[in-house]
Amino acid sequence: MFIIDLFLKPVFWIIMGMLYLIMIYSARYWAQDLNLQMNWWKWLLSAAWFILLSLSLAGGMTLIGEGETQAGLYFLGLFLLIDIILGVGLWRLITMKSKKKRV
Amino acid sequence: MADRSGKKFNRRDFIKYSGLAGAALSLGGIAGAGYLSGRNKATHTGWGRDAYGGNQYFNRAAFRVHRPTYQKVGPVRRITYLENIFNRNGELYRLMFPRDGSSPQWTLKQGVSDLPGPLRDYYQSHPGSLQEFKKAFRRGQQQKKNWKKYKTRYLLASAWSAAHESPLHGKGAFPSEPEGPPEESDFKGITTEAYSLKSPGHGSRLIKKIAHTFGATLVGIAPVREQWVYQGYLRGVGKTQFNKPPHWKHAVVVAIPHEWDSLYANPVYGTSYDAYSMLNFIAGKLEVFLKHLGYAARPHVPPTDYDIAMPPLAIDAGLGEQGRHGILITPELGANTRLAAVTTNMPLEEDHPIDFGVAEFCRKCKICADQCPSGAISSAEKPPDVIRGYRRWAINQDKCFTIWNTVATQHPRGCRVCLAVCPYSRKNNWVHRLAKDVDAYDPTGTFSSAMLTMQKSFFSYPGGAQYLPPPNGTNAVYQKPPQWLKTEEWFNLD
Amino acid sequence: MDWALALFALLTIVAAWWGGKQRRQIHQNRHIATRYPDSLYRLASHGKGLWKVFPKGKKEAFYLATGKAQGYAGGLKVAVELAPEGRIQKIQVLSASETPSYLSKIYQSDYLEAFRGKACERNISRLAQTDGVTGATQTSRAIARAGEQAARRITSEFFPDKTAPSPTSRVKFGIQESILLLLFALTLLSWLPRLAHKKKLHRICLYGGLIFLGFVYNRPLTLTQINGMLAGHWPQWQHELFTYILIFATLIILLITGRNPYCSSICPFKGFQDALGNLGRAKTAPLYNRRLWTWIQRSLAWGAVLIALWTRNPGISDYEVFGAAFHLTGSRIMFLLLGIITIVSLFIRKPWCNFLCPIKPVASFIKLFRYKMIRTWKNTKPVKCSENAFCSSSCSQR
Ligand code: SF4
Ligand code: SF4
Repeated sequence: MFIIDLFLKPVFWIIMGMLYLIMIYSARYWAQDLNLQMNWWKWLLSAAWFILLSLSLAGGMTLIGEGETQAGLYFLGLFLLIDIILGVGLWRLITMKSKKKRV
Repeated sequence: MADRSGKKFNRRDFIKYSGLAGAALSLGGIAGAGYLSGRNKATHTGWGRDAYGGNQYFNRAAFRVHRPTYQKVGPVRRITYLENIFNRNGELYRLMFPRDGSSPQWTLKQGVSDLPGPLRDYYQSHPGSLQEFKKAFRRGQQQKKNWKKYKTRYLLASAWSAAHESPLHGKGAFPSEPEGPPEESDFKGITTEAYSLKSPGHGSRLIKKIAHTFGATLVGIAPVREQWVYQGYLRGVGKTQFNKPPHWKHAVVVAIPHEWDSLYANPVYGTSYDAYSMLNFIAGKLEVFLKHLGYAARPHVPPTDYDIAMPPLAIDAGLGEQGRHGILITPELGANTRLAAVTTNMPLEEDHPIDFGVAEFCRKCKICADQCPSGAISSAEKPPDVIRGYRRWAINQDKCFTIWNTVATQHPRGCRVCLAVCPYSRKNNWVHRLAKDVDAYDPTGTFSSAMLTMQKSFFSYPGGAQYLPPPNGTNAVYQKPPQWLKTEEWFNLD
Repeated sequence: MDWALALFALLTIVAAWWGGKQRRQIHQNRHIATRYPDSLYRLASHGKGLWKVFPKGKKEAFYLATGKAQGYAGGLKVAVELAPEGRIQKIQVLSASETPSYLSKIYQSDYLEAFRGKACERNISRLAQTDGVTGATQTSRAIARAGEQAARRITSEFFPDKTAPSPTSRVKFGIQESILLLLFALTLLSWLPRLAHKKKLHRICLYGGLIFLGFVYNRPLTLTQINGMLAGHWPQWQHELFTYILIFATLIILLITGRNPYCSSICPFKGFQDALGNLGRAKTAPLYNRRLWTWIQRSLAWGAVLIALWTRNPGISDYEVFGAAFHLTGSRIMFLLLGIITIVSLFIRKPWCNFLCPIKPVASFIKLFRYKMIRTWKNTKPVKCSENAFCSSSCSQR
């Protein structure tokens, strides 16, 4: 067990950190290539959205992990739905402003 | 050189798509981490790894109140002997099955008026109560007969419970029954003159540390108020009218939970004795420890060896508040809280009572009232009864006991469904911790309403009678039993 | 072709209705007989739906009566046992053509227990006034009303002095009904030609419907309700004025104008999809075989009506997601469907309305008959088209 605690756990989070770094690094390129006029609050909202999505996933899976499978699935269903709706809203917000600026 | 621009373009794309993949992988990773944190046994508060009181994590200081959250509305009086259902039942049993083997002085066929003095008075002033006792008795006999049918399925659960129960009774029980009045027995075994503490605060901190090393999940220190001391019976003396002994200055109140997996599989797979036996050990060891420092001590331990009512004492000690089901709810353990105490004359600093919003939450929740198979829990908006001067929630003890005699166990071993279904009784994983903490700090109650809506629509509860054996129910449990309590997982059955 | 199919549908519906009725009669007293078998009880009938029951063995005799009321999706039949001293000892639901998830809410709660020991029907009618079980209000009220009826049967026969006067069924007209009427009025107004702010008015109606008929009152129009009525479960109009206004105002406006006011701007679920569609800039579905979809949608509705009428149990064929959306009750499949529709609504305009909702086909069914009728009418007795506002907006002759 101590192998997991001492070694695997930190390694897991180090890998996760690297994944996040790559993601953040590439986000700039994506924004440029998709012609998005990003600014600080748009980045902030996007980050918040991604965190919410991550927490929804983690939350639902935690419930499943502790044996509350049904509750976990409902939780996932509800929050992923909310995430999708918010995501679409966010996308509109991001793209709408950029159009105005271009005009 | 032409290659180079191509390379640059590729590099850019490479970063872009690995970023996308990274996002997807990180989501997978977080989902996996969530799953594992749900399975992590370290979240089983009190059974996990946070030693030395690490499980007493709630910031009580933020919720301190000057007046405890029980509501005094009238003249107060102490709990008398017969007001405890176990004493009542004991008296009736002794009449029905005299110890000396003589012929019964009372049988189930007889009524209230055939009972001797105090019992008759009690049952006359509590109509329906004796009726319920008879029902419980008959159900108990039925339970014994039923057991043949269920023995195999619940064999492990029954054995597990019996093992936990074994140190509680008889000659070898620890701590042993007090002998003689408190003025004698509480001082018996003191090996030294009392050492003088640097300050009462030092005393409190030390005792709490020690209690945690003995295995207590939560510890609090309360003054001993006479109103919580039972009247009419004193252990070591017997039936007597008495005042609070002056050396019962403080009570060290300890709390531990039931093992969580079995708790959720109540009533048939769970037991009360796991927590009870551990509390006996903790309180018994505290007694010895205190006496070795030169102070008087008397443990008050479950199942029935108390001279003081525990829940109000624990409220005074700032451990929690009382819930709709009458049980103490603590922030860390919810209703999965079992209590014992040691009364002592060591100078100690007392804790403050807390208010983290249980009253308002229980008003809205009512889950336990819906789930209780006996209907013993009120689903009223406000506590309907005034009991010995306090407006508070109280269950119908008689009905509850009837259900203990009904569920598919070997003998009346309890039910505990209300403990299991209470939304406060959740493990310490980040989801529940977050929910409980935010709720405690949210004064508006909107958060708890949202949580409750989710609780009620996401989690499925078997409901009332389902917990009973057929034909009334299906032997339902709140959550699936753990593998280690399922006989069929380990033994050849045919 | 349409016309022929419509006639066929009508015929099958009538047949199912009639068949269901026959089936029903055979099963009349089955429930009592199975719950009180001859081997354990002796039933002495004291008129329709009323018995004195003598349990075999030494137990005391008690009274038994049945009562009926209308729940959300259909009729509920309830049996009440009254102990000899006139207190309720048991109430049970004998049969219910109710949406299963509402019923299971009732069974999961202690609602039926609340009746035990109640003295007489006055207490029960008090229960009928409360909200009962959250998420199944209409069902719990119906149980209380049916219980009251049953208890009244017993008391009026055996304890005439204890019988409470029959409750005067006062008509309930309140905010809910007013809002509903207002919505209908606004819808009609928004249809007026050459009206300024037409679009805005339409929006107000739509989102008003979403908020009030949806989130606040959870009372959208459903095929299940209509099926219930077709199957003969007519709710007491004093209690269910709202439902009657909803159904009949829609029907009447549909018959007069040929336009469906409900689907155009009142339906809360349309508002729901519309809001999502606006958020996601949804497009109309690019479908080639639109007609096929329409017919699938119609067949679904037709099947639901047939099943409801044949079994006399509208709850069985309830596939509407409204309950899941606004009431948070429904089966898992319903929630799944709701989730899918929610997501699709972001990208495609009104998927539920266009592909699944049973209300729309029912409305167009009625519209078809109206059209036929007008045609026949015109052929026999030509009239001049009046320049009526409603006419002009819908008249096919213009
Ligand atoms: S232990 Fe069981 S019967 Fe007793 S109050 Fe709790 S849920 Fe009800
Ligand atoms: S289940 Fe709900 S009502 Fe009952 S004690 Fe727990 S929080 Fe209170």
